[in-house]
Amino acid sequence: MPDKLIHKYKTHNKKRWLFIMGTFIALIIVAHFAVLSGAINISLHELFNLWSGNIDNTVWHVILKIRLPRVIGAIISGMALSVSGCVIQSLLRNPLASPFTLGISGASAFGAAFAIIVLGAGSSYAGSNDMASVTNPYWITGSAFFWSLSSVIIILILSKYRGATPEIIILSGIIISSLFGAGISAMQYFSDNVQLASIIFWTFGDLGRSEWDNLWILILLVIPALIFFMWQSWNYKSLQAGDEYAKSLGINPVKIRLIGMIVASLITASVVSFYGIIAFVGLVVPHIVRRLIGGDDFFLIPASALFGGVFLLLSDTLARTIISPVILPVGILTSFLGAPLFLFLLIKGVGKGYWK
Amino acid sequence: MNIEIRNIDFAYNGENVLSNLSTIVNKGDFIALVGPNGSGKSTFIKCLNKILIPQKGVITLNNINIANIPLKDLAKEITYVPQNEQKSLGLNVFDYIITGRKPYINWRPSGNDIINVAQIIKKLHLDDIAMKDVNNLSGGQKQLVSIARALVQEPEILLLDEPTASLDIKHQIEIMELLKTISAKGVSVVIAMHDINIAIKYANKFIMLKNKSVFAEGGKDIINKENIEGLYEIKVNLIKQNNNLYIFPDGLH
Repeated sequence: MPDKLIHKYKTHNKKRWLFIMGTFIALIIVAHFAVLSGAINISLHELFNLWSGNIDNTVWHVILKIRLPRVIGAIISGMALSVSGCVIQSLLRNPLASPFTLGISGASAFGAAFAIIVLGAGSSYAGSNDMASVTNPYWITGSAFFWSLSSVIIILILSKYRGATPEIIILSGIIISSLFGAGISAMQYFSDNVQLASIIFWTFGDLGRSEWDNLWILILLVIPALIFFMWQSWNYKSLQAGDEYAKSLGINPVKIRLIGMIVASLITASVVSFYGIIAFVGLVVPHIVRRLIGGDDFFLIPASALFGGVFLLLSDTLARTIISPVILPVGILTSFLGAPLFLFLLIKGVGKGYWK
Repeated sequence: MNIEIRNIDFAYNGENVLSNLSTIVNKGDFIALVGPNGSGKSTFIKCLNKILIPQKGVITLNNINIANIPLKDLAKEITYVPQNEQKSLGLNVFDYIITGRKPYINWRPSGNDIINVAQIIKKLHLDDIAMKDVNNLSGGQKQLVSIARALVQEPEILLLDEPTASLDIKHQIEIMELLKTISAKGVSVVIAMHDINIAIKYANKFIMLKNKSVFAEGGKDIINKENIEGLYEIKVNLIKQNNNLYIFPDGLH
C-alpha cells in the first residue's frame, strides 16, 4: 500500500480546505469592517452592543437599511461573478474566459437597458443618487438573461470549431461586447435626458442600488447556482482533458457545457441587471485562486466564491471610503485594479505557453 | 470480453473515412493498428468506445450492441488514451489521474478510489512527480500519466491512439513494455502506431488499415514484403535476424 503517497495527497487537500476556511474567516472579518466604515462611523463597541441585543435606533437603522444590504450585495455579486468566471474557464478550457471578457456581461447590460428604456421596466427620475428606480426587477433580470444567452450561443458555436483557440474566443468576446456597447449607445441616443442619465449611471456598476427587495432575488438565484456547480464539479474537472476523453469517461460534454454556461450566464445576468457591469472580478479572482490552490474544480468553486466575495466587498468598501463622503461606483475601481492585473496575466500566460 | 465490429461505415461531413469495415478484438489481444496517415486509425478507435458513432454497421461488446450500453457503463469496460492531451488548467498529476475514476464516482472519490490511484502511480513510478502540475511534465511523463489515468478506470479493453508518436526510443519501449504486462493480465490492447518494427516486437495481432477498410489482418505472418509494400506504397527490405523481423524502407515505388 503506497501510504506515503496517499498521505501526501491528503495533506495537499487539507491545505486546500485550510485556504477555503481562511478565506471564509477573512470574509467575516471584512464584512464586520465594511459594516462599520462609511460616512457615519460606527465603533466596534456599538456593533458588539448590537450583537448583545442593545439596540440603538440610529445605528441599527444605518446598519440594517444602508450598510447590510450593500455588504451582502457585494458578497453575493462577488461570489456570482467569480464562480461564473471559474466555471466558464473550466467549461471552455480557456484561462482568459470570464463573463466580462466573453461579452456576457455586455450582453446582459444591453438586455437590462433594453428592459428599462424600451419595455418600461424602470421609471427614472433625476436629482437623486438612485437614478433608475426599478419598478419591475423580474423584467430586467429576464431581459438581461435572455440577451446574455445570445452571447453564450455565439461563444459555444465558435468554440465547437477545432481551430478556435483561446485568443479567438476572447476576440469574439470583444466583438460581442462592442456590438452590445453600440446597442446601448444607440438606446442612449434615442432616449430623453432623464433616461440617458439613468443608463449612464447604471452602466458604472454600483452596489449602492442594493436593497433588501432585489437582494432576495439575487440570493435565491446565486446560492442554488453555487450548489449546482459544486454538484457538477467532478464533471467540470473531467472536461479538462478534452471532450473526447470526457466521453470515454462516460459523460456528455455538450450537455454539461451547455447547462453550465446557461446557469453561469443566468447569475451573471442577475448581478448585471441589479448593479450594472462590474468588470474583471470574474476573470482575476478565479485566476488567482487557481494559482494558489490548483485546478481541481471541487475546491476551486467554493474557494473562488469566497475569495470573490472578499475581493468585491473590499473593493466596494474602499470605493465608499477612499474619498469619503463621495462614494465611487465599485465598477470603476475594479476596472482600475483589474485591467493592469489582466494585462499582467496575459503577459505571464504568453511566457507559460498558455496560448499555443 | 470481446468486441466484434461488423460492416461499419463512418463519414465526416459526408466524406467516408471507414467503409464496410469488419474485424474482431478478442480478450487478451495485443493489436497493433497500422496504416498510412489518414487511413482511419483514429476514427476506428473512437468508434469502439462511442466517441464517434458509425452511420452504418454494428459494434458489439460481448454480443451486446454498444449503441444500447450507456456511456458510463461502457467507460468501465473500455478506456481510451487520446493522441493529443489538452492543456489542463492547473491540475497536478494525482488530480489528473483520479479523473479516470469518474465512472465509479458519483460526487467525490472514496478512500478506495484514492488507494487505487496511488497504487497505479507507484506501479508506473510516478511518485516523484505526483504533486507536479501536468502542464510542466516532459512528453514521456505526460504519456505515462495519460496511460495511468486510463488504467485506474480498470478497463477490459485499452485503446491507445499513437501514444508513442512523440517519444524517444527509450520511452517508446518503456510504454510498450508496460502495455505488454497489462495485456498479459488479460486486458485487450488496441494501439494505433506507425513504427512497425516496434509493433512486431510487442503485438500478437495486426490490423492494417488502408482505403477506409481492413487491408490485411492476422498474426505476425501477415508482416511480409508484399503486405507492407502494398499498405504504404513504398519499396521495403525485410531482414530476419535472431528470429526477429526488421523492416527497412528502400525508396518509393
